[in-house]
Amino acid sequence: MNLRPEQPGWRSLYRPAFDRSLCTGCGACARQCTFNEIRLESRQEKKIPHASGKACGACHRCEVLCPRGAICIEERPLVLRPHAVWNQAAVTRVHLQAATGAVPLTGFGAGANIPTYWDRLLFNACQVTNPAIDPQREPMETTTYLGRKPESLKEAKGLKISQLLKLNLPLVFAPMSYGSINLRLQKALAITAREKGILWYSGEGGFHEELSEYSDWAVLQVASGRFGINPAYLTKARAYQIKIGQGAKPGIGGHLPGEKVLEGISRTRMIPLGSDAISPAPQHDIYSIEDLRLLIYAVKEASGYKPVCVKIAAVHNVAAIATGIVHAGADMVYLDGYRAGTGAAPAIVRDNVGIPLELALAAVDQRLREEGIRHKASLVAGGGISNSADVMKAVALGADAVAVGTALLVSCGCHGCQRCQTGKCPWGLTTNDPVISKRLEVDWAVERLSNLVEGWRHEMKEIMGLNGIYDIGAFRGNRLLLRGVGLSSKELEILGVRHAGE
Amino acid sequence: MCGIAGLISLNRIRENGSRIKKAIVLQNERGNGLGAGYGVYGIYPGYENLYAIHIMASSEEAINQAAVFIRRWFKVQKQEPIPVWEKAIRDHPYFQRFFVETPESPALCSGGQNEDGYVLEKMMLMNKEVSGANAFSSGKDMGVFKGVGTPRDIYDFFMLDHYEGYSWLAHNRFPTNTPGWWGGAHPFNALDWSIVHNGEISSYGINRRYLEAQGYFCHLQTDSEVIAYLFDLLVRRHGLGILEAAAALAPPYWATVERLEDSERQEQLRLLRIIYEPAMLNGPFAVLAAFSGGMFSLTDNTKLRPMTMASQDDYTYFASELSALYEMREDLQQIVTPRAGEPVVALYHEPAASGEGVTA
Amino acid sequence: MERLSTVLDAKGVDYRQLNDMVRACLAQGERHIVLRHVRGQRYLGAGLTAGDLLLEVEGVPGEDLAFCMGGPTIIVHGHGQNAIANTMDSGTVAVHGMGGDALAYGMRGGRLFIRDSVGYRVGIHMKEYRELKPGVVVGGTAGDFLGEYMAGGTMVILNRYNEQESVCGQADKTLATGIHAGEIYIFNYDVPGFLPGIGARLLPPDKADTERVRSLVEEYCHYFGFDPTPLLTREMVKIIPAGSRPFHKFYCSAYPVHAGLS
Repeated sequence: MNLRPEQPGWRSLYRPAFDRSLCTGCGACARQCTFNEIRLESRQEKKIPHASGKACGACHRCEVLCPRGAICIEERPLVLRPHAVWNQAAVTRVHLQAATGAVPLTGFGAGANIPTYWDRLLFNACQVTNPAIDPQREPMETTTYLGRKPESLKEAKGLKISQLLKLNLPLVFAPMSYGSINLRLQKALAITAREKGILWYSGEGGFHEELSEYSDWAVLQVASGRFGINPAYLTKARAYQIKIGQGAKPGIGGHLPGEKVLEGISRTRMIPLGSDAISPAPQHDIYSIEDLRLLIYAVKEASGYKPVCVKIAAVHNVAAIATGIVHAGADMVYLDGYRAGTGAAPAIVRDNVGIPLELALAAVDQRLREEGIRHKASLVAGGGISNSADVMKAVALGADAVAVGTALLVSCGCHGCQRCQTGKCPWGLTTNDPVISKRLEVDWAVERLSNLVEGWRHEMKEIMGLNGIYDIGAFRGNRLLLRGVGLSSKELEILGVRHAGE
Repeated sequence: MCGIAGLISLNRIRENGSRIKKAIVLQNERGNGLGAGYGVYGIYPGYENLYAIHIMASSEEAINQAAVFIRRWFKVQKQEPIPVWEKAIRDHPYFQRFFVETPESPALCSGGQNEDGYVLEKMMLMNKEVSGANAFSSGKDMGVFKGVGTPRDIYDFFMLDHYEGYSWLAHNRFPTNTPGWWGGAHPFNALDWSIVHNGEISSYGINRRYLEAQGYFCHLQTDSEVIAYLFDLLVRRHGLGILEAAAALAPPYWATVERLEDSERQEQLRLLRIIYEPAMLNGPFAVLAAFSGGMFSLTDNTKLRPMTMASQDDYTYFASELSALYEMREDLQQIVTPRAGEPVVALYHEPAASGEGVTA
Repeated sequence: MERLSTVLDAKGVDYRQLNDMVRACLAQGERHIVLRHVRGQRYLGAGLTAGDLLLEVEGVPGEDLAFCMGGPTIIVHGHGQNAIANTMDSGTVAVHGMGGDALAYGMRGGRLFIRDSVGYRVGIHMKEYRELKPGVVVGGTAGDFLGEYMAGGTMVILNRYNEQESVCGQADKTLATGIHAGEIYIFNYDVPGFLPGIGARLLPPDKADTERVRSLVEEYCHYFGFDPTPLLTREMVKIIPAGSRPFHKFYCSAYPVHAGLS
């Protein structure tokens, strides 16, 4: 890789600045920095922190943990003559690649300047003709069932409601594998999901035995690496998810380097200690829709016909693909949008491939209705959901449930430094380093996650109430509740939403 | 997407569709009931020298319009509804077939092409101009029968027990990129070429633009359509042999070409790839193609879709799944799985009475 | 006491029903089940965990035979199709005929014996874990992408008919691409230099290798009634990973840095 930060000219674009008048030299900052940005120098029996200016990525860990509030992260932009193309991002990227000859990897979700349609959609509210509902006082129901539903009562013979997945809120925790995150965080997700009556998705890292009591709220994944999948794995979860693609990196595989495959991960993924965990780009038993059907039914056969969800990235032809997936027998389709997060993806892929979730979701929901198969599968949509209004906008566009991932990490401390792939997450989230991951206390994380879900739950009910709707079912797919602002007629057509003022 | 089956009697011994039906029905899991079809050669004895044009239309009015169109450009020897058994599929388009000759001097009408070129051009013109009607089969002494339904439904609907032909293609569809509709079912036909396809053509965008620039009209909303036109272009219009056309559509890797010891072959493969770059098919595919000279299979270079075949007693059988071969003949001695990109060609021992010579 | 076998006629029976029938027999304590007239039915043996079950299949089973199976033995009297031993955990599958594409994908343990040749992409991401070490023996030859991303286990291409072309694929750099654990042995074939993919290395086998291969081949021969000796006296070559990190130079971290002239 040939990365040599000690060489002249190498510098980070951020740096901690210390207020010497406040600093007591306690050294907490140096201990907290997992990238060795800060070192302590002794001067007249006092320890003084110094920033090297080579490795800071603006994670804010030192700043938040400084007991004296003596640190502030500063930006150190590379000052360039203004240019529309050769800006800081372009120049630093070329320099990095010229130094390494490699593909720059990053974590987190896409940050490129692509429209966020959530921000161009606004809700309606009741005025005069229809009363708003106060969720504090009046009943407000968010119960959601996911899975394949009959078209009519006639067809319902033999269906047991228990075959569907019941959620208290139209919210699920997006798949994050044990490996990309640590077991503490995954456990906190599992506990919170159970507590809140929603689902957590395992990602493809297998299923750690410590989480078995949360299996009724777990959707376990079958992905291309087939890690940790054995006959027992295929019977214990509530449902299964076949992962075809990921919004942050549609069309490419994953790779957990050998040094991260420590004892717990080795056991859970059922691979030797220290061996690379490579997930090939496609599942090599799926090259076509009828092959997907083959795997869907293989999982059903082996699991006693539990619901099977298929996760795909939002790409150009997503509506037709989703239709095929439903015809192939999936009980749920999980759409992962352009801005979805990742533990590691080539930056060039993360920022340039796929389409925004909003457009994909609207197109898929519409196409499934046109084909008369919308009831056959539930739609779960995720990728860049950052607040409860996004959730409700997604529901109004047609999602049965909405997946959140990055927001969960942020609730546990993440500040978006986008270095998940390094395994040095200073917040102890996307790392399995035995020392650093101890920074995350499970109880604390559960509290933070629960708080977030509660906060969103209140807001979601508020949004329902002010639209005069007390049941989430009347909100789902109800695009009249939305109006677009500043959108072209083509965008509005795809979203199936009228312009504000219409 | 899909399952494939085919059989061909190299001695042109005719049989009805019962064997091919068993082979495609066995592969039911490969489709989803949204499309199936059959292509059969040698079914119109007595009309061998006439183009048999099959039309599907959304209304009787559209059928009439199509008839007016066809009568304007052709000498129609016979017109009749294609017999269907409505109990098999209640909701269906209207079907009609025409047995036609070209006018005395087609060059006068347009384009200065030969008869085949004239017919194909008119079929495309009709598909473009006559709203609601679609010519889906236009070869001589052959016919395509297809629609939305399971292979069994479509077979019963068109009553294929009553036709006898010496080569049969069958397809079971699982649409991915386009909705299931009658015109989108396989086989796709252009004159005597019929193809069934399993897979997805990632290169469709450029294949289509290439074809459209050569006067083809791609209107069926599906990637598979281009394969039939590409064969027509390469074999009929450009005069390539079947193996050359196959090498143009599924060329060997450059590295493989560079290693060849036969420098003449090497040069030919380089040329084919350079010239026919926009015709090259990428993405997973297994194609079974039938034409007046026989039948052949072709898979993509990395063999992402399956194809198996067997030859015995002057018959050749093809199927996506090996088990389906046995549905056509129980006592098969040897099964072959063609290699990636390797065409398997089965030619009739004798050309048909009216057949043009096509070289492998 | 000799156990009686149960015979089920699969003719025209839908796969789901057939698998239910097998599971019902298992639940009644049957441990030797013979399926007659099998033709394309999928998922036979999928997810079954009875280690003492012997399932005999007469005919051609469909895709995903022994998917995620943990323990049973399946003997196929006929050809096999695609995706046999997909994600298989343990047990044995022996096919008296040829096999299709994508066999042993993600297979973690057990044995897969194919009497004749197999198709493309066999043994992709085969892996091992502790006592689970998969073994695959192919009697004939194999197509491209053999052992891609292989992460454990042993694969043997026996080349019984001593073919001298396309024994383990024919396209450049497709053999064992990205292999990072496990081993492939190929008999009586001079593997052309253009075949091995990134991360694959060819070596002559050592004594321990020979022993390991011998035991696998003997087991293979046991199922098909072959004499292992003449097969084993031929030369073989071993393919193993060049290192444990085939792609480690492929990526660098996209730190927010100005890299200067590093």
